[in-house]
Amino acid sequence: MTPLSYNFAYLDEQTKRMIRRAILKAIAIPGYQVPFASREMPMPYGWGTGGVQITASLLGPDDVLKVIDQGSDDTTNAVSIRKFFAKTAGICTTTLTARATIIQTRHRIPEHPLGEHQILVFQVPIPEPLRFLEARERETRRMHALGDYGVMHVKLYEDIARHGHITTTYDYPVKVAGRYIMAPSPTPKFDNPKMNNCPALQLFGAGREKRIYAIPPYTQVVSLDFEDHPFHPDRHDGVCAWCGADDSFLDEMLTDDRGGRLFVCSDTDHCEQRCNAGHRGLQASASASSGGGNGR
Amino acid sequence: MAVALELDGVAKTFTLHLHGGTKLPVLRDVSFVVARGESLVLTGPSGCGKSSVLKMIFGTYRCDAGRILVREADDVFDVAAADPREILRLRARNLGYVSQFLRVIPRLATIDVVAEPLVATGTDRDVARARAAGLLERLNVPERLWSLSPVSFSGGEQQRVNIARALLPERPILLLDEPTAALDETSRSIVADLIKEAKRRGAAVVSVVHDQEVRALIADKIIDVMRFCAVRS
Amino acid sequence: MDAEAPLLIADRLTKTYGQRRGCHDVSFSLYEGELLAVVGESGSGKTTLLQCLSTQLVPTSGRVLYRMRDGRTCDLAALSEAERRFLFRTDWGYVHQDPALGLRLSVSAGANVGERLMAIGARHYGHIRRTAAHWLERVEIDKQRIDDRPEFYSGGMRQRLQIARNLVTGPRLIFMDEPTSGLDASVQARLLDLIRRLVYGLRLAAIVVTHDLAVARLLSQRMMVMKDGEVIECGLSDQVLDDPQRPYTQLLVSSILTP
Repeated sequence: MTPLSYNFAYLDEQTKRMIRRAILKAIAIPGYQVPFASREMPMPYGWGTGGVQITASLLGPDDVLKVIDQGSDDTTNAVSIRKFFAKTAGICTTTLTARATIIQTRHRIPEHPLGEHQILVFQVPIPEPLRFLEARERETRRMHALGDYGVMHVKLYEDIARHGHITTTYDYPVKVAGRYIMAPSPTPKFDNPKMNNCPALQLFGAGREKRIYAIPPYTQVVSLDFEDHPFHPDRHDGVCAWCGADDSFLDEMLTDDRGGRLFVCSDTDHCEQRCNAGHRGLQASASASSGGGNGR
Repeated sequence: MAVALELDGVAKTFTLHLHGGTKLPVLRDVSFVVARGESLVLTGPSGCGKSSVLKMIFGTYRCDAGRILVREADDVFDVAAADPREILRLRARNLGYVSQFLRVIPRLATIDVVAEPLVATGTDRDVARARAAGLLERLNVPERLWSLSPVSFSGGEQQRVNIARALLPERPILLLDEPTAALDETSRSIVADLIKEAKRRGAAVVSVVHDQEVRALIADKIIDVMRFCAVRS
Repeated sequence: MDAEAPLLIADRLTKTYGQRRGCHDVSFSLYEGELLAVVGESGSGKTTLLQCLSTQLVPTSGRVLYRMRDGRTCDLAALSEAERRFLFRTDWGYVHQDPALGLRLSVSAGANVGERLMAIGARHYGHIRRTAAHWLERVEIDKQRIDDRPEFYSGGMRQRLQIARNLVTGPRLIFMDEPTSGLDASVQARLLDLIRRLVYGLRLAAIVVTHDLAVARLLSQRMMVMKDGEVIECGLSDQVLDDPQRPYTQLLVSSILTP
């Protein structure tokens, strides 16, 4: 049986051009959701098809790809996508943030500051930040066109009225370049400040919803808030049990069924690099300190 | 003698479209003059058109011919030819009207019913209410009723509220349709006093009054409206 | 009411749906502080007229002119959609017959009232909340219910909330479509009283569409009677109700049931 051969990075060239055009348009209008003809990918909707299509249309033979899911390079999702591109494009992959030229991510922004030579590709489930309050697509498009965003602050007002503070902790709405309100994808609000004035290009892809949007490098991104309830990039008060970092976003890990738990860096590469550099947390383990990034 | 109000050749016919377009002529060639400080009483049998005359002066009824001239300083306005906004202006400034029946706005307290026309023309609400209180007191409407809506009052009480409302703003022309019909003797004489006071400050008063005693107290001249009756037997 | 330019002018406004007439050749002027009642039975065209006036429908012919806050009188058709929406949110109010259409039921009363403020840039939670509470009081809704959702309000309360939501930005013109229909008599009386006080107290201009002559008598100084898309008669409310000239008006007035 003849082995299947794929076009470079799976998608045909015409599709890549179509997607690139959408990306250019998105970059030209920061925060604006550009519709695109999302293709059927060999993974179901909800598994990052939007991000995958953007990555596929941007990859060149010299690119180095990193894929993370909730900050980790090790999850099923991240591993699958990394292997997918390794197979269809034959490009180098890495877990080191600093080495990657394209980073595809689900629900986190890496801790390590990004540079001008890098592109961050976000996987987005619901691109429309107004959807929860306005179900009609026609109406939300109009609201964006007219800058009619009162309803967004209504949501924040409701939170404060009901809970005393704004309760949105992820996918926290932002205003891009002072014009469009955008959903940053379900990244924790802790990551919002990283989007502001970032040297890297940030691209957002929603495959099922068929939208692409972008934040060009060095663009102003402001999280919505009230003057008397300003935005706080909260994080759990603690340090990473492995590397001791007190300023990275932490994941909670249950260690037993008696309430034992650990807090560790969500960004596995960040944690690893810190451990390699000699930082230690209270629960530093042999495996964490053995280093060994799996670049190929 | 400064003329405040003049009717000249006024006529009124009702067309009853629901009865095949029957025409019901009521008044023709109504002409009279009322001077400042003068009180005119209209008399005549029921149905001859006395109330209609008042309503035409106030602008509620349209008139089919003639002029209704209201003089204000150097200006003269013809109610018969005025457009709706002008009539509203005239009512606000020149015309006070006591209807036969008090149209009650639900939930509005008596004191506010009386004060409202003053407030509407710019008087401070508290000042208006204070003056309303004074007038209600004179008319023997007890204070405990002032915060209630006149909906539940007796006919006589409602009428006194109606009178207070029309007299409070001290307009130059007063139109009174049976102001004392439901009142007892004491109240009747109080109302007569108020009308005399209005006259003294220069108001021209046109009223429809059945009661002979009250007529005697307030009338400077009397006109029998049958004179203008449009239906001739 | 001094000699000033009209706030809203309808000039031969016509809306047809193919052969069917919505409204035909309607002209009038509305001044600041005036309340005009548009009265008619179902199918008279009164709601179509209201929607043409408030730019929710595009008229087939004729114009609507509006005097903006800066004194210029503009043809509303010449405004951009953004300008029209801004006008709708700041200078105008629209009270729907069904309050559910004019409210966000899933969001608290305070948020409902505050939304317009937030839409025009208010960004201080405390101020917004205080303003919302103030307006709830003015429409006689207990301030304690500011965080309740109108899902749990009665019909009369919802209608009052809708009014508060519209008044918060200090509009100069309010459109009302049958504001009291479907409400119990006592609730209706209370609402009408409130509308009267607010409209006259705030010197608003208002156009109220109703089929109920008693509402017209109570609320308006001027009235227009419509039938089959045409204006049959217009004038002062007491003129039209006490001395109706046209056959249809006489029919309408004589049909009022009095208890």
